[in-house]
Parts: sequence; C-alpha cells; structure tokens
Amino acid sequence: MNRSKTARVKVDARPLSIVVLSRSARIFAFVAIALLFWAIVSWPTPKGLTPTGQKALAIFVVSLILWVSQLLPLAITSLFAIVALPMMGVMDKAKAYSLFGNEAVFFIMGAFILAAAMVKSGLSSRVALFFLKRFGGGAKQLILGLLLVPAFMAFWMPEHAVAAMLFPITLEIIHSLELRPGQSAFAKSVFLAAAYGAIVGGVATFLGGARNPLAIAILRQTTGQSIGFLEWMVAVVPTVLILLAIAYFLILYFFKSEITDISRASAVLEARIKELGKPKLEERLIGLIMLIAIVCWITIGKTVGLANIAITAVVLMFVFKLVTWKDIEDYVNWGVILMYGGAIALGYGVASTNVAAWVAKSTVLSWSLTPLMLMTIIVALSIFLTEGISNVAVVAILLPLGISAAGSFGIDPKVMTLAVAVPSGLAYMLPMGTPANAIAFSSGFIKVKDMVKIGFILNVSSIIVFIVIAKVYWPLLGLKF
Amino acid sequence: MSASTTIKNPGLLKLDLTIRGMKISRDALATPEISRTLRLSQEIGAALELDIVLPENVMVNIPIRECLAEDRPYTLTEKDGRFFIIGGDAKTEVWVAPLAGFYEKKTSTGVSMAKIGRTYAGYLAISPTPVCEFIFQELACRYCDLEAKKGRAWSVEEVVETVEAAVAEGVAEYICLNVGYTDSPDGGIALLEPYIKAIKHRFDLLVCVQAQPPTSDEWIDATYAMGIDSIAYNLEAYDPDVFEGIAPGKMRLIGRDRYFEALKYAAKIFPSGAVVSNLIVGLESIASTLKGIDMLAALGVIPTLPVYRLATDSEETMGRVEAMAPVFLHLQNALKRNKLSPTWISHFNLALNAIDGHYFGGEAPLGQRWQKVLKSKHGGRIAHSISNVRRRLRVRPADDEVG
Repeated sequence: MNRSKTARVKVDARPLSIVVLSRSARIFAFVAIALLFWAIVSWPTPKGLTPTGQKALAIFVVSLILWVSQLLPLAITSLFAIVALPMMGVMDKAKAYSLFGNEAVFFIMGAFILAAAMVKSGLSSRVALFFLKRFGGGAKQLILGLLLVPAFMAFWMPEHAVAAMLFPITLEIIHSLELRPGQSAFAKSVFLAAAYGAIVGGVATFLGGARNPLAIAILRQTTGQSIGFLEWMVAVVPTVLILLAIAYFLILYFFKSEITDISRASAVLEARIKELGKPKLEERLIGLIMLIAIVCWITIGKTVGLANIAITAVVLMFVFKLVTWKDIEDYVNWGVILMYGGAIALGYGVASTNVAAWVAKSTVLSWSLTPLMLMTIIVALSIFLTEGISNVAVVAILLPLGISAAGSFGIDPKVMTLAVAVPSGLAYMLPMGTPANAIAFSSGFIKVKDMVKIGFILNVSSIIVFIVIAKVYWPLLGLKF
Repeated sequence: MSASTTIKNPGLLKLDLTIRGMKISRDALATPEISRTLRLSQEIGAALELDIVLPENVMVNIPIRECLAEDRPYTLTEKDGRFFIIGGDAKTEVWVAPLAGFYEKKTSTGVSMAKIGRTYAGYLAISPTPVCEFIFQELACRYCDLEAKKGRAWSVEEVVETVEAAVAEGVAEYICLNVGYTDSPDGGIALLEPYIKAIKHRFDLLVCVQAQPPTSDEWIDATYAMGIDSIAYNLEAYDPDVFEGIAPGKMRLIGRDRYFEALKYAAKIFPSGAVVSNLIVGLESIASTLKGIDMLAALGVIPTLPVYRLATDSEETMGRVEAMAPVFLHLQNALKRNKLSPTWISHFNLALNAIDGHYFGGEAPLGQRWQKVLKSKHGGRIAHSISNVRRRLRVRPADDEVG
C-alpha cells in the first residue's frame, strides 16, 4: 500500500486544552456572529434607516463577515443570504429566488462550460503553444510571451483555467533548462509572468473572471444601467496593456535572468506541439463556435443578451457532441455559480432598502471627500481586499456601497462598477490572492517574499494606472467622474 | 529464593512461573480445561497457552508445551475440581481459565479461528500477515513467532469474523495486532490499515499494534489517525550488542537510534501511557535493563517487561527471581517519576509491568482504579469513545495550519 492511499494527516500534539479551544474557535465565532446579528436587528433603528433596512443591514454584515472569514464556503454564505432575506421580511421569497435566475449567473455558467470544452479538447493548449513558440528567441522574449499569451487567453476564458493549463508547460520548460528551486531567477520570472499575465488579462472582458458579469448584474439590479461586452473591453484594455508592460519590466528588473540560451525550452514547446498532432475536427468546431460567440458578444451582445449567446454556444457544442455532460460536471465550479446568485440577491436587498445609501452617508459621504479621493479609496480598497478575500466577495461587499455613494459624488455608476470590479481581479501579492498565484507558488520556485515585493509595487502601480486612465481616457468614452 | 517462599507472593510467583515454568500433574492433565487445550494445540499444530489466575487476580500465561517437561520447580495439580500450584512444601489455589470457545470455530473460509487469534485474559492478539522483511533477508528476530506462521495472510473478513466470535464470547476487550517489517517508508503499518479500519468500523474496541518504527514521523501521525489506540515499537534489549544479537534486522535495517526517535515522537502523538516498548528481562544485565527502563520512561514510553523463559530449569540466565524482582520495583518508580500511567497497558499480562510493582516492595498498584473502569463493560465503551474524541480533535489534514 502506498502513501497516496492513506490520507495525509498530521496530529496536533499541543496540550489538549489548547486543541479543544482552537477547535472550538469556530463555534465561538458562529455564536458571536449570531449575537451580532441579533444586536443589529434589536438595536433602536438609526435615523435614515427603516426597520426593514436594519434587517437587511444585519444580513449584509453577517454575510460580509462570513465571506471575509470564509468560516463557511462562499456559496453557502450566499445561500444563507438568499434564505435570510425573505425570512427576515426584507423581500418577498419569490423575488429573492428569482434574482438567482439573473442573466449574469447563466452567462457565468455558459462561460465556464465553453472554457471546459476548450480545455478538454486540447484547443486551449494548442493556442497557447502556437503563440508561445513565437517568443522562443531568447530569455526576455520567452518571458514576454509567457506574459502576453496567458493575458490574451484570459480575455476569452477564466484566468484560473488559463493558469492551470499553462502550468505543466512552464514546468516542463523549467525542467528542460535544469533550473533548481531557490537558485534560479529565470524560473521565478517564468512562473510569475504566467501568473501575472493571466491575472491582468482576466480583467479585460467578461470571460476572464466571473466577478465582471456579477458586477454588471449588481449594476443592473440597482440602477437599471449596464455595460456592454465591447464597451467594457474598450474601457479596460488600455489599462491591461499598460499593466502588462509594467509587469514585464518589473519582472526583468527584480529577477535578472542567469541564462541566455533557451534553445532547450524551444525544443520542449516544439515537442509539445508535435505531440498534439494535427488539430482534430472537434477542436476546429469548438474554436469556430467560440469565435462566433465572441463576435456575437461584441456586436449583438447588448441586444440579444450575453447569457443567451453563451448558452446557445453551449447547446451547439452538445448538438455536435463536442463535449459530454461528465466533462462539464467535473470542470464547472458550481459553488461559484451559487455564490453569484446569493450575492446578486443581497446586493439588490441592500440597495432596495436604502442600506447602501445609509452606510455611504454614514461613512464616505461624511468625510468631505472629492470624487477623485473617493475613487482612489474604492480602487485601493478593492485591490488590497482582494489579496485576502475572494474577488467575488469584494465585488459583493463593495459595489452596492460604491454605487450608492457614486450618486452623491456625481460619479457615473458605470465608472464605480469598473472601479470595484477591475481592481478586484488584480491580486499580485499573495499565493492565496488568486488561483493563478497559488499555481505559480506551488512550483516551489517562488517564495512568498518574492511575490510580496513585486506584487506590492504592482498593486500601487495598478491603482495609479487605473485612476489616470479613468481620469484621462474614460471621459473620451463618455464615462465621467 | 525457594519455590515455597515465592508461592506466598502472587507477583513473585508470576515471575518465577514465567522464568522457570511449571509441570502439570496427571490428574490435572485429565481435566477438561487442560486436556482440551492439549488436543486443540495438536489439531492446529501450534502451542496454545494456559491462562492461570493466581491469588489477587494476578494473571500468568504459560505455553502448554512447556508444562510437559519434568524439570520444573512448580506443579499444577487438581483435586475435586479445584486447581493448586505446589512449590516445595507450599501450595496455593489457582484458577485455570477455560480455553476460549471460539478456538473451536472456523471462519466462513474454513480456517480455524485459533490459528488467527489468541486471547490472553481480555485481549485478542492477531498477526494478520506473515510478511516480514527481516525473515526474507534472514535477519529474523530470535524470538519471532511470525516465522512460524509461514503461509498466507488472513483476509480482512477472516480477521473480522474471528474478532466477532471473540467479542460475542466476551473474551476480547482489546485487539492487539502484530505486523512484521516491510521495506517501505511506513515500515509495515500500512499493511494493517484495512484490518484496523474494518475492526474500528464494526466494534467498539481499543486497538493496539506492535510494529516497527516507520522511516518518517509522518507515518506515526498516520498510524494514530488510522484508529490505533496504543503503539508498541519493541526494543527488546537496551544493550546495543544484545539488541543486535537478538534482533539483527531491527539493528541493521532500522537502527537502534530510530527506535528511540520514533518512540519519543509517538509519545507526543498518542495518549500518555499508550506508547510501549518491550525490554526482555533476563537477556542482558539487570543494570542495562534498568538503564533502558529509565531511558524509555524519560521519553514518555511505558516499558513492558516480558521475562526470558528458561528452556530448562538448569539453563544459565542473567538472573533468577531474586535478581529480577527489583527491576519491577524500579519500573514502578520510573513511571511515577515521569508521571506515566500504565493504565493503557494493563492488558499486557504476558509481560510483567508496573502494575505488578507493588508485589516487589512498591506502593499500591498504579492506575488500579482506571483499570477497573476499563475492564468493566461500560468502562470499555467510555474509554473507546474518549479515545475517538481525542483522535477527532487532534487529527487534521496535513495541509491544515496548526496553531
């Protein structure tokens, strides 16, 4: 019997009293949360807030704590929110559950299924290798390729899927160059480039990270406004390009390559391409369907609906038997889909009961800020919060408040939506910030301090770039603040 | 010390009986208890043991074959259905525990259950598999009983059926599994995992295991997580030369230092008093055994002291009862000094242990109250539940942060 058949465990050998206390911490935490909930609900209703709003505030605070602490899985907290809203009389149960059927939820589900098909068929690997091969001239070019290729791919599929797909390729490249963990700066730059490329690219469209459609859904539920697929891209892509350039130079600066000859890495890429053989019919068909879907999202997305296009593309894939339901079941993160339904319902509950407005009034609106200061605070909060908590949770927590505050500062709600959603996808500093970072860290070549050092500078750079773009470029698109 | 003197002290008698054995008189041989043991021993082709209860409920276990020799200082006799042990001109009444009924049963695959499990006054000993790298590399331990069990491993179902029969009869409060050494990082413990899981799944029983130390401490964590309540890594002798002489495989393939390391680590992982190691008294000098006791106790390990049995009463040995008796008093004091309770090993009646220390001039037996609780029907269940709760609290997935 080998070790893999026996669960990997460790025994906590601290004194039993301490073990019991640490194991009970969770129970104490839940009791404390329940008491807090009860306290908020039973407190005298503050001025400017209705009793219903007070209950919505209690649900929001509890959900916020649970999302941030992750005492419960994100999806379960969302389910709690969906159930708590009608139970506390904040909204009718039919309304609460109907919000789960939001278009964004189905768009996210469709996007996940399309990505699953691309990964399963090998199309995503082929595309990655095809482009990477063109950057095989030298060490610096390879780093550039490893930054740009995942960035481009994360325009069209979730960034975590891109990172996971590229990881075996980058690992093989490093092994072919016989680089050793802890010694090779080039290896660090390879893994960081692939991670940062996927992260930065993931904010460019609705497909790179499901937080973007969630943000649009909250915007639509609370204001009735929306941002189209192309409109989003046009607004965000310049930021993406600038951030990629900054990431490239920072990686080269911090991790000076000790090697120049990467011919063996090129040989690995060549071998992988040969291994894939000629494109199979199913790859071609999936590629074609994906291409048509992208064109439709850009051209007729607003009128036809993003989710309708995504789901139609999914149906076509099943019509042509390009994927099986088993492939999809294994790949799609159904928990995230549940999470989104709850987050949308909570966002609506918080906005419709004026809780968001009340919180905004009690905080940022009373600080005599300028719109620029408010934007900077929101962007910075979003970018640093996402290092520690799920980017979806950041959107669910910050956006309803941000949109509410935006009105009083004369900021376009669309601008506020972008100011929360885009930075919430830019976690560079910590392995737990995003799956792409965790995958890079798992290589064993990168230390946390490497990530923190370069990640912090990228965080600050991202805030500056975002604000400058928002101030200078977005007014040209009609997005003002 | 003469037999007529030792017979008055149950502890000394147990010790002397263990060292020098006893013979069985013709009338005792004819009793159903003993004749049945002899018959079954012949049927299964292995020596069964007699469990004899001395005064004050002191248990001693003697292989039946050794009782057939004439050259023994004690005699077991029978008169009017009562058993006596006679030594010199003194005698004491004893009780011969009837042989377990399940020994006569067979598993659904037709294997005699007496071949699979042996019960010793409350604990059921099973060696599910004869696999041992020491035997394969001709480095078998000198007193190994696995070597005699050449043949196939018992299936999980066969073992479970045997345990079920023993439990139904009320003769198994603990299960003691023994496994040989395998040339793998787990050292052999992984072979036991399916048996342990099946036993724990079906019965509320405490399980102890005698195994060899794994190469990494990670496997000691896994051993505890499997459901094992008490672990024994048997050193057998403290003196390095004697250790190598009686256990060449242990010395060459594992190393004496690894035994100490693994025992020390296991003592942190398992409940206090649940990690044990044998030191065979009589194989090395008494001074060396005393050093071994001190060393093990300081590591948080309970030394158990099986006694070297003489093949004949005239055989030379490191010590007779006079020399050995102080060892058990020393053991009791060492455990007290290190605040170790022998409660968990109260079932190891094959060996003398600290529980018997008071017979050699020590204070009242250690952990006596707990032993009574453990031996009771509900006490056993409570002990099992406490053990499970402790495990639930302490065992975590390896990627969980502790602290």
